[in-house]
Order: sequence, then structure tokens, then C-alpha cells
Amino acid sequence: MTTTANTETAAPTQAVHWDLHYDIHLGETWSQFMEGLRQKKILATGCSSCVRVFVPPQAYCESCFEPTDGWRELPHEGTLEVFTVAWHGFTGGPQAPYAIGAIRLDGASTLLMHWVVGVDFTPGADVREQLPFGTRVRAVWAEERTGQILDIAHFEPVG
Amino acid sequence: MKPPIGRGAAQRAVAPVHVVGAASTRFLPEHDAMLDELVFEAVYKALRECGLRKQDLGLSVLASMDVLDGRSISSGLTNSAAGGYLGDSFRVEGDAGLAIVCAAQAIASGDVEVAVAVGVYNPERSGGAATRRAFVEQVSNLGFEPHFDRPIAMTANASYALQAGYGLVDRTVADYATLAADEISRGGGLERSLRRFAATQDDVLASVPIAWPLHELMLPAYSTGAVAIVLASPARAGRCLGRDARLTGLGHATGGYTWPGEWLTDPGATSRRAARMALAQAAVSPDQIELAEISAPTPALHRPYVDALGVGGETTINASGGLRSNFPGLANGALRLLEVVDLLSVRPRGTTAVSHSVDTETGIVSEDVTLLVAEAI
Repeated sequence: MTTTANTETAAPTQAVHWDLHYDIHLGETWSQFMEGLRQKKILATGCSSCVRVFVPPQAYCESCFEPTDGWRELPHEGTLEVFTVAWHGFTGGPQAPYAIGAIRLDGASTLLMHWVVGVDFTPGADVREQLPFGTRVRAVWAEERTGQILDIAHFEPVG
Repeated sequence: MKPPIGRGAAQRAVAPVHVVGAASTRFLPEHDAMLDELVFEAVYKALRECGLRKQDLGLSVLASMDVLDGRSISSGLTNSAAGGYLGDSFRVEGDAGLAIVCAAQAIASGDVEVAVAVGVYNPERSGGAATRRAFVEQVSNLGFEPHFDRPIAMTANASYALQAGYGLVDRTVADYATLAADEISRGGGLERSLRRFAATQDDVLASVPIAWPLHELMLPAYSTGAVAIVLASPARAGRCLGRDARLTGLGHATGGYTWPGEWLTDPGATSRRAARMALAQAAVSPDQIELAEISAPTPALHRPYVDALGVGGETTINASGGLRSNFPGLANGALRLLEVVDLLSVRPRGTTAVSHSVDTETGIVSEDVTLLVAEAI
């Protein structure tokens, strides 16, 4: 532990570091989804009461409060509902700039958040003009897949 | 027993709770202080204002968050400073608005006669504004779902930017800048403001781009400090010095997660649920609200929140400059009520106001909203 003076306020502080490792459980539903990703499959669950299709898959429908009933495979394409370009990252995060999008896969009722490519990060560029909302996008698979959401490397514009 | 005064008294669903004390520390970009020192200062001043002592408190409720405080039970440090030594106390990891709701409910239910709610915010990360923002965003990222949203760098600012982008269908980035400039300028001359200047639309658009389409001056003016609110039952308030306001409605609601998408398509939904609850309790309609402090973290959320509360027209909204002028993180809910109570002190008896606050840990996603209805007495 070291005591230092903060350069902005001259306030003395002591550096403290937390280093905690977690093994966060996936559960049955998400384990199956992640195994699907390893095989280049995007799997969803559905609710027969309200006919919503969930991806990420859900074990139960939060609205109907009924168990979901069965799996289906979704296409790898969908619609980019909205995206943003983060010009500033955060401690421990990816190097900025990067683009995050909300994608509605064909056949899904829900949004999947993921990286989006195809945006010019030049300062001052009109990012929305380059990638209008509603653009068709498709999943680009990582070469090495380990059963995690980044098995989809990112989404890219179709065509 | 005399009937309660004010609008809607005959239909009111809950007993009113009086605000008898309200005080804060100074608001600074970073406090050179231990958390308990900030909490003590705010609670001490709020109790002094109403002539009460620590021994009069039946309950202390603190709003703080371990991961920001760098202590795994940070309330262990601040409990005594909140007046909780050998008393009844607990902590909520969220916005101070929720602490006020908890304290007020304890009084309304008859459990205690006097309670204090206090929020404290001084993230334990030094090194300048950019470093602190990167730290708060890191904490925000940890608040997101770890398998799907955390790996792709979702944070509060990313969610706000996504919502602001989605809202560009019927508004422009220039509209956002104009609203931000108006709020900064409105608060620029006020003592509690962090941004002590007037701003133009061009100033806002020239400020640092954070996440498209948001610029730095569109985001809250982050400050640090503590705010305490002392509440009392009507009977106990009659024997107190201090403030002339009471809470007549307490609303609280929580939003959903990323995948349903309501945070994009209907960002006012959670506020609407909280408002419905609070206004029903207070038996007032939106058109009776004359003053409102609304916590919109971005200009893109201003209109959805205003519409959700149903205010507008003659309502004075964010006379303080809102979050564009001062946003003390988890203490914000108490600051918004402090602003409201200050405004009510010079208004006629029966004037109705609302204090709206949100937690910002995961931005507009899973948003936690509190709405308090206050009345001048």
C-alpha cells in the first residue's frame, strides 16, 4: 500500500487493489446457448403464451411467468436497431473507439447487444449516415470458439 | 383530530410525512474526506436545522455503494455518522431517493417518529475527471449481465448514447445541445451548481464527444458530497423547527434488462410506473404539479421523463438546472428533494411539487426510479 498525493486535489490517498476472481454460473439455458455458439448456431427459446422469442434465451417468460417451451435456431442475420460509437472507454475495457449495436435477429422478439463494424471512426464523421438504423447485419464468427458470446466476433453490414 | 390540509386530503392513501431538516456538504469534483466525515456533516447539519438530536432518530437509512466506496461493507464505516450508533439503521445500495422512501415508509407506518435518509457519493478513485469517469464506467460495466452485455463493453454512458441515438427520429443532436445549454445556463449562477457558467448550443456541441451522439456537456455534472433529509411524523413535526414541506406520495419502480428493449422504445416507462404510484398516493393529478425536479441524465431523456410524469404547461421544471448543473451520484435523490423543499419554502401553502430521481449504475437499462410528491405547508 502506498500513500500518494492526488495531483488534481492534492488530497492524500492510498492505493488499494481488489483482485477477485469469479466463476459465474451459466445455468442450463445459457449453457445450451453457448454450446450452440461453438457450433455456429444461434439458439433461442420461446413462450407459447405470448409467442415472444428470446435471444439471449430465457428459461422463463418474465411477462407471462411461464416456463419457455423449446428451442429454435435463428438465422444469423438481423436488423441493426441502433448503435453508438464510444469515443472514450473505461478502465479495463477495450480500446476506444468502438461501436456497440442493438440487433434484432430475424425471428427474435428481443435485442442482442454486440459489436458492430463498418463505421468510420474519423473524428467528425457522420457515423449515422455510414450505418443507418435499420441496416441489415449478419454475425461474423470467431475462428476459435469457446462457448461465449464473443464466439460471434461482431456483426457486419450485409452486402 | 383535525383533517389534513392540502389538495386531495380526503382521498390520500398514505399518511403524510414531514420534511423537517435538509442539508448537504459542499459539492466538489472530488472531496478530500473519508465517507463518514461527509455523512456526519450532512446529518449533523440537517438535525441542527430542525432542532433534533441523534437521540431523537428512530431510524437511519443510508444510500451508498460498496464498489464505489472501496470497502466491502462501507456502511460499517458510515453507520455511526448517519446517527445509527446503537440505533436502528440500514443501507440501500442505490439512489438516495430510495433511502428517503424507506425512511418515510417507516414513519407513515407508525414504526418511528423521526428518521433520517442520507446519500453519500465520493468514488474512491483520484487522478482527475477523465480517470474518475473511466472508473465509474468500469463499475457500471460490472453492473451489466456478465455473459452477454459485459463482454461487449456495455456501460451507463453506452446505454444513454444508444437511447439518445434511437431518439433522433423526431429530434436532432442540436435539439439535445440546446436543452443542455439551457439547463447549464439556468444553473450557472446557483450556489450548488458545478458548472458555473452560461453555455450555448455551440459550446455543448464543441465539448468532448463521449459516445455518439452525446457530448460531455450533455451528460450530468458529476460532483461528490452527501445530502441528508430528516423526516418526522406530523405530530413530531409540530414540535420541530425547520422546513415547511411534507411528502404526500412515494413512488418507486425498476426497469427491465437489455433484451426486452423497453429502455429504447419507451424510456419513460419506469418513471411512469413510479409516478402513477406516487400521484395516486398523494391524490393529485399531474396538472396540479407546479414545480418539478427531474433527473434526466441526458437531454434525450428529458422529454420522455416529462411526458411520463405528465407535467408540463405551467409546471416549472428544473429551476436548479437539473443534472446538467449538479449530479452527486447516489446522493442525487436527496439533492433533488432538497431543491424542491427550498423552492416550496417561498411558495404558498398547498403548492405541489415532485422530486424525480434515477440511479445511473447501468444507465437507462434496469433503471431504478423514485418519485416523491411534496407539498408546501
